[in-house]
Amino acid sequence: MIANIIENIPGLVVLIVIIAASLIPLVGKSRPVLAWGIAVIAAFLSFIMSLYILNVVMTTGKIRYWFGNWEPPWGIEYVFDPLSAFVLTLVSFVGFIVLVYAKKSLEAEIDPERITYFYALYMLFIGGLMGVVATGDIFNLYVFLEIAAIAGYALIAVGRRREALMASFTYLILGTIAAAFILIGIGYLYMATGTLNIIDLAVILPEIYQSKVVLIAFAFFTVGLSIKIALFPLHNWLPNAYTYAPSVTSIVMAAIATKVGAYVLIRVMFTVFGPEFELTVVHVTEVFLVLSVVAMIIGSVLAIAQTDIKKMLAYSSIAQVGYITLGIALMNVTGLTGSIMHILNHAIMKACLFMVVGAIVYRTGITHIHDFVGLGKKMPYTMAAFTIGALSMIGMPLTVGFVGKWYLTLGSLEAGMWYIIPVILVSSLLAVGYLWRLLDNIYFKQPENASELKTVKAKEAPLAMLIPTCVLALLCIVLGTFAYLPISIAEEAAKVLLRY
Amino acid sequence: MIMDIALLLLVVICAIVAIQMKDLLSAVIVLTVYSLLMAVIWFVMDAPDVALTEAAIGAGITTILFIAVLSRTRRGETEHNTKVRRFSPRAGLLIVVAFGAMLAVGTVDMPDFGDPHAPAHTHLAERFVEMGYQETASPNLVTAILICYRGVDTLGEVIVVLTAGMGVILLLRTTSRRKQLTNNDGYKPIMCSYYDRADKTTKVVKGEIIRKVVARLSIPFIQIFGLFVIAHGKVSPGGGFQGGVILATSIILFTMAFGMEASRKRLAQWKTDVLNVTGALVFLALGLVCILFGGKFLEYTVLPLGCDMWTNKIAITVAEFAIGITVAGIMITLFIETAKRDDK
Repeated sequence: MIANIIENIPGLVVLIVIIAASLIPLVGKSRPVLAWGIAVIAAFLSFIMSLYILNVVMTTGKIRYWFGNWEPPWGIEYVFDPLSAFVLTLVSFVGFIVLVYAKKSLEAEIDPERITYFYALYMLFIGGLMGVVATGDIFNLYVFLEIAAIAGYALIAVGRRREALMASFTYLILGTIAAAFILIGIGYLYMATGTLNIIDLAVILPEIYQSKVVLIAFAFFTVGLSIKIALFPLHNWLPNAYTYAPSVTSIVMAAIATKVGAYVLIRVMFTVFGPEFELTVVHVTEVFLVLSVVAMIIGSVLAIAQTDIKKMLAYSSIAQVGYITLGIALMNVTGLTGSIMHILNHAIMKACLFMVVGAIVYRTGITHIHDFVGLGKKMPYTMAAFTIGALSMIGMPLTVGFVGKWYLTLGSLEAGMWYIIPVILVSSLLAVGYLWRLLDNIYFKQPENASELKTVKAKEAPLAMLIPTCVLALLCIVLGTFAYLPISIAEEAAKVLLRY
Repeated sequence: MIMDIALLLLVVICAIVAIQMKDLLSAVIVLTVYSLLMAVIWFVMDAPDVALTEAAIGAGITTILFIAVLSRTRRGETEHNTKVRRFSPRAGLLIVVAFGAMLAVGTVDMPDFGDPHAPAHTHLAERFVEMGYQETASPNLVTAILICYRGVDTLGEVIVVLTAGMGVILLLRTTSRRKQLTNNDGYKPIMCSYYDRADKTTKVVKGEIIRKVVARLSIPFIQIFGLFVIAHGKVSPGGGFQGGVILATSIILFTMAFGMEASRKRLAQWKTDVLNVTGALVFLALGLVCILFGGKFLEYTVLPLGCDMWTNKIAITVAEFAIGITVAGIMITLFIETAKRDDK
């Protein structure tokens, strides 16, 4: 029986999170602690299972898990190749570590009577995203994308301020349009091929590349997914959603929601349609190149203009999405490796930065940058973690942010697009700009009037929040210094995607 | 052919009228007509399962939920909304037309309507049609695909419904924020008495007896029909989703006729909360039990329930009822959470 359970791990890795979500309202009805306990245990088990899957995939190759033992394309299968195993591990890891952090933060930011259902929806959110990553069936992907999206709307709307409702509503409308576009794309593909299985689609599609149905399907997929990943100029929903959501939601959404969107974009572009399609039929890479460059610059410029730290980090996310799509647009292994590394970097570094913001809110309730004067002395460890995260965002050597940017630079050279390099530099310098202003306030600026300082009562964040933050900060350095392991996975994934 | 075109035209007209209506209640009713027409179209296109879903969910429960929302907010569009509009409607129209044109361009290479050689009818469909009954013991092939071949999708859809319900509970079931969220014009919504909006000051509700008698008479039949649709899902059109919604409407009708308190006395909040997750958990457990007996998740045939035929039949029935329970629970929850009064 044990052997059979191990055989079923590729399915259970997602299901256990969904099971926990369904159990939470029953068990944690009046005791949120129990809800939290179940969530943490399930997320931890799921993380362990995804590590196991990653290990198996990297040593023995692709895993295909047939649900109900119905052979694909008739049944639904989960497929793990290096990319999906990598992103799955990332999602389950962030999902777990944010849960550890969530307990204290939620107690401070959410009504106690709401906490149980918050955990349930949080688990559905994580489970939905994991299902999206794991599945090898394009309609199943849509179903789990919807689970994650609906849970996400609720998780944002529960924010304390009234603006949270409007932010969530905007996101709901745009997210639903995106979902409808993706569904139209799926419908058109099904009409043209008669199948929903991704591997099967990849086999059939090359024969009918010129079909208008396929072209339109691709167009709707790209626009829908561009909304989901908040690619400039379809980013309108993102800043308010991240700003007014509770800290925990901001962390988890900024860290993995758009990353999973980027994963789906990569999957659709490279696995479903195939690199051949983008190179010979639609020439969409030029569009992505331009949009990425604009996103990298505009996102950073807008981030400089912000005075609310959450909004600033949100706009910086728009710039970071530009880096990820840049790697996609380069269409070579090095660039795509950079893109995948940047997914990793952005997930860990943004989670770390938003966790620090959550800790500041927990201790002082401020999010305005000018109020941060003196925090460096009051919350030394938290601010150290923030500094490391900021360095990783800028792309300092020895942080994981450097690795991604390095590969993107090499990829641009390889593609003969040297003019991308100054853009990466300028965007990084702009990042230095908005982050330096923060660090200046935190460490160096002297308060003009000590009594008016809003950080007087601040002290170090509680351990339950500090430890996850520091773990992520350390990971920024560890994965950047000993970058061999993640790079080898990302490179392998890129090779599979570009069919080398 | 003429029938198809006429129906599609009517659908488009309904959509435009619904957008143009300033009175939101009228717009909701027009949308109901829209959904009923869509149900007819699905039926004409030989998709009775979808037709039943559209009728029960699109025309039925959605209308009720819209009205429940209206009873808590306002019936008309306000001038205020038009002032803060940031984008011009013309630009919106342009975008919509552009995307519509793209969809139309796609039709050029589409297989002909009803073409038996279209990929959708030849690639996977052959095995579904030829082997479906043998492999799943379900004469209704839609059910065979939904519960057996693509069982995880259906589980996912149950979870989508569950997520929506939990989201509504998370946002609306609270005490501390209520004051903020009620609107400022001093109007206290009256639970489900849209008919009486004209004289909202009077406590006596006209037509109350008719409503109660009709409800009393029809509720048992509605419930039996709902159970029938669930139980017969594997033989005839229908299944857990449609049946669950029909079951839920019986409770909603009861609430509308006899009021929230009477309804809550019969079906307390904790009971619907349990119902919500029970269905999903039963479905998940059904899948996990298959793993315990040495198979894959949702591989029904490994269960020791006699021959494969019987095992499949029992498993499909269990799955259909699981879906029905969660859907019914969530629909009731959605209605009650949106329609309930704040001042209690």
